[in-house]
Amino acid sequence: MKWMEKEAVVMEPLLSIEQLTVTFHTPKGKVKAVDGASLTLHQGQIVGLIGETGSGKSVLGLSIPGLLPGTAEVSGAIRFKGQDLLILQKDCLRKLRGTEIAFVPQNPATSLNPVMRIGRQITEAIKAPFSRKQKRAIAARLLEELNMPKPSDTLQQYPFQLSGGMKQRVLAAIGAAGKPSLLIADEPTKGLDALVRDQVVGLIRRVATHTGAAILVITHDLYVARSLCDAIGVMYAGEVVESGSTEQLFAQPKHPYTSGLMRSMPGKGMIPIPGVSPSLMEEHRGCKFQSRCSQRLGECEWKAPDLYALQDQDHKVRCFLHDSSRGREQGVPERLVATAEA
Amino acid sequence: MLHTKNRQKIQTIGLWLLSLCLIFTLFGCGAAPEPVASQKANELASNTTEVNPEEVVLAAPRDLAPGTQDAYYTSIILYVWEPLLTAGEDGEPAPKLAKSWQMSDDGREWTFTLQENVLFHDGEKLNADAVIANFKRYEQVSPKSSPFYTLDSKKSYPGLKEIVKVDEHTFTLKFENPQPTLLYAMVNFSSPIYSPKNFDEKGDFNRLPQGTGPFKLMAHEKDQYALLEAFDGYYGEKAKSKKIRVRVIPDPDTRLSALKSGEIMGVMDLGAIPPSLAKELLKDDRFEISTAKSTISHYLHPNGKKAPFNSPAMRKAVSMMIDREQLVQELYLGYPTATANLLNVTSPFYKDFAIEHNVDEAKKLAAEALGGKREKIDLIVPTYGLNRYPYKAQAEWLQAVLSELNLEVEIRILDGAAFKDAQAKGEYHLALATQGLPNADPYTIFTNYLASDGSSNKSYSLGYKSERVDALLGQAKNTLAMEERRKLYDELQAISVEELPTIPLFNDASLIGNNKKISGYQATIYGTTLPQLEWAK
Amino acid sequence: MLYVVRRLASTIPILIGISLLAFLLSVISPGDPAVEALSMSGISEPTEQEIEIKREELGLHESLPVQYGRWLVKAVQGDLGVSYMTKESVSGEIMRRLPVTLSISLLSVLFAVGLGVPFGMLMALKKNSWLDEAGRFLALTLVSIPGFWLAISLITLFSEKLGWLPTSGYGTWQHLVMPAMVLACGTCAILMRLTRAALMEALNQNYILTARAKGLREPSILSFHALRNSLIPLITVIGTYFGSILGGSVIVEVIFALPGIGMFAMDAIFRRDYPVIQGYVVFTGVVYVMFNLLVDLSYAWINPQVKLGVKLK
Repeated sequence: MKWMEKEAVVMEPLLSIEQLTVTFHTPKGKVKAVDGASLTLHQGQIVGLIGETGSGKSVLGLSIPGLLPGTAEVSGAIRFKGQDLLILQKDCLRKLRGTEIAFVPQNPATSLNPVMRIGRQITEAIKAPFSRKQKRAIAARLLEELNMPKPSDTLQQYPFQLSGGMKQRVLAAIGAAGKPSLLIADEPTKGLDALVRDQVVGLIRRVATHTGAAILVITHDLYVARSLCDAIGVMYAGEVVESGSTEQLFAQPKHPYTSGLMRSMPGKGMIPIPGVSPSLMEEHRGCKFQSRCSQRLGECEWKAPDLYALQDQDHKVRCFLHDSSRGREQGVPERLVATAEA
Repeated sequence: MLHTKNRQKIQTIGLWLLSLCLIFTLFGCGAAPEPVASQKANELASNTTEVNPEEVVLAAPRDLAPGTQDAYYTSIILYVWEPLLTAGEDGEPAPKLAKSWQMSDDGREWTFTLQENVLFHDGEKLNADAVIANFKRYEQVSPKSSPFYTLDSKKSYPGLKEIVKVDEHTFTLKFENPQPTLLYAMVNFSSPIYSPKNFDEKGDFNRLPQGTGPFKLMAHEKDQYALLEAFDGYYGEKAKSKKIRVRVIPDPDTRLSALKSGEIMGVMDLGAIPPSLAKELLKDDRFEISTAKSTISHYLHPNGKKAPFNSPAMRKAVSMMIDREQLVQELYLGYPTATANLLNVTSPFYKDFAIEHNVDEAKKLAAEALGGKREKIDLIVPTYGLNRYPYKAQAEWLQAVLSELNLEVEIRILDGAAFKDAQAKGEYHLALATQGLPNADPYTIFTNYLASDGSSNKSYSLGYKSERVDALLGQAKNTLAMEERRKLYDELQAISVEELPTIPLFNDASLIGNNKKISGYQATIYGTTLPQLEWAK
Repeated sequence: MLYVVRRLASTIPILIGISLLAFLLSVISPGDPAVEALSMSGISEPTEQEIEIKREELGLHESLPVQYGRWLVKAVQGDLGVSYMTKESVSGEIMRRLPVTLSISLLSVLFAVGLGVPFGMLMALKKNSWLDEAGRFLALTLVSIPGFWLAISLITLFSEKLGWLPTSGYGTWQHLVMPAMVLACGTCAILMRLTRAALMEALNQNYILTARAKGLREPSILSFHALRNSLIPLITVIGTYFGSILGGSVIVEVIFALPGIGMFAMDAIFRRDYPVIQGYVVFTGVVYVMFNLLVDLSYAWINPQVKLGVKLK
């Protein structure tokens, strides 16, 4: 099957998010969920986006296929295969969804239509003009690839008859069915126990291998990010505060927040970061993390740092501490470029 | 929500409310129709509702052809069947299928001669045999109730021993006892004649009614319509309309709308058009109204078995207090006639008695009877009266009037069965009711109301007892000569006016309305001049 | 299948219960059927003897349990007896009037669903717009309008002034339009609000996001995903509404001169015609129970969790 083969690797990034800002207009005021975030993805890469609840990572994920609610105000650019999705016609964007760009939502328990059979929910995602029988065959095969026991039986069943892990597989199948170039997985392991979590990690890897798609994994689970991703971006309060390869980040976290996150992991001591994340409604003058930062400088309070590159060009940090020109020189904010893995 | 949005909401709602109200006031309140515009619309209507130019459509509040289980199949006002005798203009018995008669000297035998060359709708001939078959049927099914009249040969032909055929067109009825007033009892609903082949072994109709009338019943859908067609073989003046359809429309407002929209050309039957709607109809000069005396009278029944109306003075006070003329004018538009006589005006024995209306005298009598106290009483009103008559307004008016006599009236509206129950049990003080004249001979109604064991007397708890009356009634029963009887009836009427076993209010009037597109359509004492109805030239 | 049989079997005690209740209510209310039967013409009052004879004829002199028992025995065999007043067969009369009531009811349901549900859907989709506001106001108006007033207004407008529709009677589809409108009014409003609420709730669910992520067109998402999930409350209302209007509607039948089941029952109640009252109660009981059953069965069809129970693999 053609869509199972690995696609050739290209240097041009598949997805390039530039200075994305998403503001929600609520009755209580404006909420800036994403504030000038930038991110790049290359073909065949698995990139993780980690952060706590409210960091803006899910919103960023939703904004790519245009699944944000109408109250969202979006600015910046999202280039997919060269085309800016934010200025694309609604209907053209819709055609990309499910075929080129797949989004696998959180919460498998409620993300499947309870009154529709599994088979139909998967075949719905297959847009190519196959017959019904063919589509069902494809669906069954997808489930088989994803290690679902008795795939053809599953097609006849309803969501309530499946376990959490099985439902996750169905969602993954739905995501993969359209042969996407980009698959966005939103919190794929949220709420699952360790055993199922590992299964899901294996699942995503399998999808990546078989489809050759680039995958953006959005998660708060550092363990998952480490075992799955090639490169990682860390988000805090709507901004990307650090980015780099997985190795670099986990071996040498540079941003105080990232190091704080690492320390809070079960294996590393479970030391929480003091303080609370800032309100997304108020405008901040300085660094958004400064109030909780043990290493803050004087200027952090009233000046916002840009993303500074480290010696290793791939590793970028949004902190004055790592400003290459020590002192007050402005470093040119560079885009986060993650190299392709060999 | 922001405040401005709330205000906008209210404004939007307000605008909608206003526009809806405007629309509905324009159309819903039924303002007087603008002559030109609506006339055009109505012409359109009569063209689009597929009106057969030959067929005239009328409407009645109830089904005038109840069907095979009914005693008569159709009401007499459809002119499908005819009786042996009918009522003349003066209320006296007049010939119909029986053209002449003779009573024997002892009053025990009555011989009738039939009209000749009369055919039933099914082709059978009217002769003595046919009549005898009908009489046999009366006996077989009596008493058979019907919404029009109860067919009871025991009441109409009491003590009928034998029916003898004299010749082809003559027969004799032989009775146990003298029957001087037989003719009055035989009128209309007591002597319906159908084809002898029209009944099954139980005495019920086996098919559509085959009478001798100017109209044949061609078809009928229960509770929807009855379709009449002129009978070519009629022995008298043939009906002027070829086809008449009588539809059933129970609601008076809908009937009025149907008239106004041209769907129907006229209405018929009791309560066809209530007085208030008649007034509205007359505003439109496309329509006309005709009235006739009615056999129905309206009464205020007092419970004579308990205080305060067991006192004749109290009853007198009420009767004198009520301004009957005002009632008739205000609520019934002046069509009926006020009366203080128990006997209905259509009876040939009716005598006019002056109505005493004296407010001061009434108050005096009441004060005496009540001992100067204020008494609480109730006035019960039957629900079937509310639609046909302005009984609600009438009850409230009485309430106001009687309060001046120190009577505190509570109005209770009861459904028909509960109403009768309350009357029979005497659980009321005053009741509004109507009574149709059962028999042109007043003996029946006097017995019912005035005899101490009279059926109405008992059923309405009138509690009236008068030895003089019982004696008079006994005497009348045995009086053969009509002149003698008349004197007795006069006295009975006088007693009823004086002692007021019940308080008569007025004699109703039959109200009929029709579109001027038809002519020859008039109200008669019972029914209309249906055979003379035709399209206006 | 067994489920259906069990449900049908359980209706028998229900029917006995309601007919018994109807019987008791009839006999304790003031009024005598014998008197009513004899005084239909309103001209003569029957004598006590005549009333007695009639009471015997109608079986009213027997004790109450015997009277009811007699009726029950015949009823279970399918014989609902004859009317005290007209001597016509009760079941025959109901059957004769059924087509009238059925046709109006069908048209009413069509109006209520055909107008209420789409409008409700529109309101849900254009949430908080002027259309939504107008719809909510309209629903409030419709549910507040008294039936008889609406009937008379419609007749005045469409028959008298415009001449488009006949005022009353039964025969063509034009005769059914206004009565059906009056009957459908209130339920149309209810369906509007209900559809709006149910659809809004369905559209808020996570699986709608999944459907959007698949790149499906909005109409498909609306019909296959959102609407299907909002059907259950709608079907409940529609099913029970249909079941109840099959018992007839007196106001509509009187004003529009439609010889339906409602007027039949009303007259019988006024005249204390016990066999008709009980026959009517049994008939409407059966109809209502059947519709409830159909509604419950439809739940199972719509929502598989109901049908199969929670069956883990």
